[in-house]
Amino acid sequence: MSYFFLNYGGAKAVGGTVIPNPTYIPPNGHDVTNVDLSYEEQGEWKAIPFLHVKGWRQDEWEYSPTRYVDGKDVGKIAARLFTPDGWPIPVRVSQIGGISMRIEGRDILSEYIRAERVVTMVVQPFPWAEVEEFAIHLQQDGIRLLPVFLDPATQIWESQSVTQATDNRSREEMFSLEEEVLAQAADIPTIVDGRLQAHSGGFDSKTCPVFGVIKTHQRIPLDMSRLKMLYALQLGQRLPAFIHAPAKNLTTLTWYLRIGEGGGQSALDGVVRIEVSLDWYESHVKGTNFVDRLSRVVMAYRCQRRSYNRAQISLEPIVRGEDRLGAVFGNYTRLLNHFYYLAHIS
Amino acid sequence: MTDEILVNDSPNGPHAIGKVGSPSGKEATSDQFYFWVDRNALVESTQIVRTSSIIGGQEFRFFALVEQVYRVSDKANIADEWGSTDGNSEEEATFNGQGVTYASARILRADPPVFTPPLEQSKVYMCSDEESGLAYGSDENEAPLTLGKIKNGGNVLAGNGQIDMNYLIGVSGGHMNVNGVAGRGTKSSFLLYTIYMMLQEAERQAKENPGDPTRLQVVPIILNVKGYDLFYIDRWNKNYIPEKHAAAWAAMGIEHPHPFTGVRFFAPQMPKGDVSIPTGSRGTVEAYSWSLSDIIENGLMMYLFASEDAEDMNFSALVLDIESWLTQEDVQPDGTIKRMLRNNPFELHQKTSKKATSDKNAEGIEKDEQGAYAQFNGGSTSFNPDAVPQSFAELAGWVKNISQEIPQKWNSHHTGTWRKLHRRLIKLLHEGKGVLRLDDLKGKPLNLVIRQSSAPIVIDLNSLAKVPGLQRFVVATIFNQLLEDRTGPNAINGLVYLVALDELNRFAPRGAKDAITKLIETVAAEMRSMGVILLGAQQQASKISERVFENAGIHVIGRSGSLEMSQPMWRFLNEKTRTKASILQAEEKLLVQDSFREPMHVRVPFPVWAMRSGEAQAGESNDIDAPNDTPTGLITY
Repeated sequence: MSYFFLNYGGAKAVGGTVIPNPTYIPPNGHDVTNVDLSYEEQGEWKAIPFLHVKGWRQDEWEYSPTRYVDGKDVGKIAARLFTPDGWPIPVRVSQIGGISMRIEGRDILSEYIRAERVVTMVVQPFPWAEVEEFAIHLQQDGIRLLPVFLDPATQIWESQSVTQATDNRSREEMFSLEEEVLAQAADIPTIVDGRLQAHSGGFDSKTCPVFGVIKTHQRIPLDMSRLKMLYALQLGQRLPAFIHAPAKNLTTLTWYLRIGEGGGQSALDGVVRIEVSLDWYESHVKGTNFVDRLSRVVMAYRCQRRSYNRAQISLEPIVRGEDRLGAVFGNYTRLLNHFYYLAHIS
Repeated sequence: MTDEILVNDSPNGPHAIGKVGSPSGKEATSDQFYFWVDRNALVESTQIVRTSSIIGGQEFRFFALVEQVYRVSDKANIADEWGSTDGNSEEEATFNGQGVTYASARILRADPPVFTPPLEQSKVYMCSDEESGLAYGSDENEAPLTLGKIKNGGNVLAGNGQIDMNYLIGVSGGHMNVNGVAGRGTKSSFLLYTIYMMLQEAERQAKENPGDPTRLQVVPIILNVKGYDLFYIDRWNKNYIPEKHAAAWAAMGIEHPHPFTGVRFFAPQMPKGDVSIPTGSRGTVEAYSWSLSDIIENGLMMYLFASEDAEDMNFSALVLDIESWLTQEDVQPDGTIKRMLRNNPFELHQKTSKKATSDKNAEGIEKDEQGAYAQFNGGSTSFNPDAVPQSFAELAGWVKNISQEIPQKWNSHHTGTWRKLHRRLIKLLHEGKGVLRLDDLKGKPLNLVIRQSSAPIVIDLNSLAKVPGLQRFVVATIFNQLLEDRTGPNAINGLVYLVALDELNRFAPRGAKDAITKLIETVAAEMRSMGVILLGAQQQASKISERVFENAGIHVIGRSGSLEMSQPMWRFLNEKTRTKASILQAEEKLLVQDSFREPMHVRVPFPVWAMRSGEAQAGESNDIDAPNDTPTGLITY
């Protein structure tokens, strides 16, 4: 029996389930990104149609992706406790997991699943022995404590940044699970949901055919004319591939393409971006029509469910992976109530 | 049948076919649960499954009947389904759907008994033959009687579908009622089939325990109410094809099914002859009839009249008065009372059944000898009110004369009542002059008192179809005789009279209060313990006496109309069962026994005996397709 929460004024935090910032990727210190827009097209850019390309199917092309990796983090800041100095510390309770789906013919089957129930919180302000005792207490009920460590120099536990750090830690752990799943068979052509950098621990960027599909676009490294060209992309068209080279992170070859008809709230509805490790590309497929073929695969595997609000930019195997993970997670409210019981929060 | 598949051959084998799921909206209860179906398994409604869960530290097995199988795709709505091929039906979707098949199952039995649901994630298995029987409590049947093979899917059969005879022949209940639409072999054929299986059981017990005085002994009495259909049950059914149908019999342990043998057939006596009316049957058909003395001896007078008359207090008082005057009762050495027709003290009547003349009086009643005629039919000068009528003709004349000038002895009854009785008698004797012997002093009354198992006795009622009153009279006579035999000092332990009667709605209609309905109700309510068992059938149970229906220990439902199944008396079945009843195949039945939590869905073998003349195979019954070896299933007496 742990009285950790009671000792530190633990109380429920009301509010709905929150999905962490989907654009967040784990930090790797301060970084500078170089972009080489002339990698594929040195001259003036123009939209490139790719629907006509042949030889993209599984039985025609060795790099046609047959594995799809996705992750899921369902949780929220469920409680707060207070440091001995009186700073509020948010506690996130979540279910996180990673899954790989495999395409066999016309069937999509689940392959590997990793799922965990975690409690995420900043632990530095509390006596370590008490934190450990609480962690053991949770572990006995199948819940893992994810400690968040902030800069040791921090003395002010400003609520906004602590909450952000807590959410991000939960998401980092989800990426870890995705990497674990990815690593099970990273030599098989695989598409991961999101940035390659976030999954870089799960594959060798020089040898593994792992590709990222990014659905949301935060910083678009294009100039005005190319940006307008991006907005004007038609279904089945892409922009030329270019190099995205963060100084400290994975250098990728990347390109934008439209796989949905658009017409939604954003001009970029239906547009996704694909990332491929530049090292792998140059050593394996440079000089081929790889970019067009991979674009064609992504187009072919797009989600066709009209009722799914992100269908225009989602891939069917990824959506099914999310469904499957959701089924594995079980009832979140029940987890929450169980956590409150363990923490003696009424 | 050759296309049947036994469950042991199921490709599903011993592997789990799914797991219990109980999400919100599909909660498991102590009555039912849902389970999802393994992607490689085939599950059908009507299959019997089992699962087990450890609850409170104890393992419980749950046997259940698959009520319905559902398929849900991974699409949220039909537009999503449309979108998977962009609305083009010729196009193949890029990926197969990720649909889920799941089923609802109604719990038949929990072992050990418990009123709690199985837990989610419990593996679900198809029941084996033995387990299918256990699901319906076959291990608790004290007197099992196999009535078919349990249906376990569209074309798969599981173990033996057994009822407990204690619910049929009187220990825990009695009687069987079969409901079903006409013309699908639903009713009569199943009644015969039940009789066949009971005779088999009686024969088995006789072989195993010949000295056991309480062993089962069966006397089947089959009332033929349509055409002369049941006069062919000792003939092979020409539609029976051994290669196709024998396997179903063999699966029930009957290697050599055979038409009934030794059957006795009875039909009404010819009005002017000693033999029965023609029935078209090749075999011997015995005649039956009653004279006035037969009526008196068996106390049947009141049964001659329709319910409306019987309910008329004045009329029934007069009939009882006359019956009492005609009856002489003698106490026998064993203490029983023997009834007989009083002799006519004036001795004018010739004690012969031979008629001296074929002349008829004004009422169309043939004259007997002049003396008798004058005594009962003469004018007021020759009529003797104290002369005791010895035949129906005399009785009619006597009543006529009394009604014209009522002697003091009889004047407690109103003239109108006398005249009413006279009119009724004239009509009755005119319509039933074959069955009711006008001038004969002795008829050929049915004697159904048998002291040991016997082959079926088929009694025709169809030829009396135009005289419902007479038809009811015959039925009443039969039951009355059985009641007296079973309640008398000579009653045999273990002996069971099985009386098969189709069209119960004609003999015990709902709401009727006539003597026949009351008699059948009495049989249904009180006589099971005395071994008189009614195997009744009708197209619409809602049209028969509730008392008769309610008292049946075994209900059998063949294909029945949906309107009928919506009637209040079927509310003891759940909606899905009622729906199922409306789509049953001809050879399928739902058996309802009190101890079953759900009706048992069985398939019965194709009958080897003919059910009508058109089905009867040409030639003698015993030399067609009869096996060379001695058949174990052959019933001989």
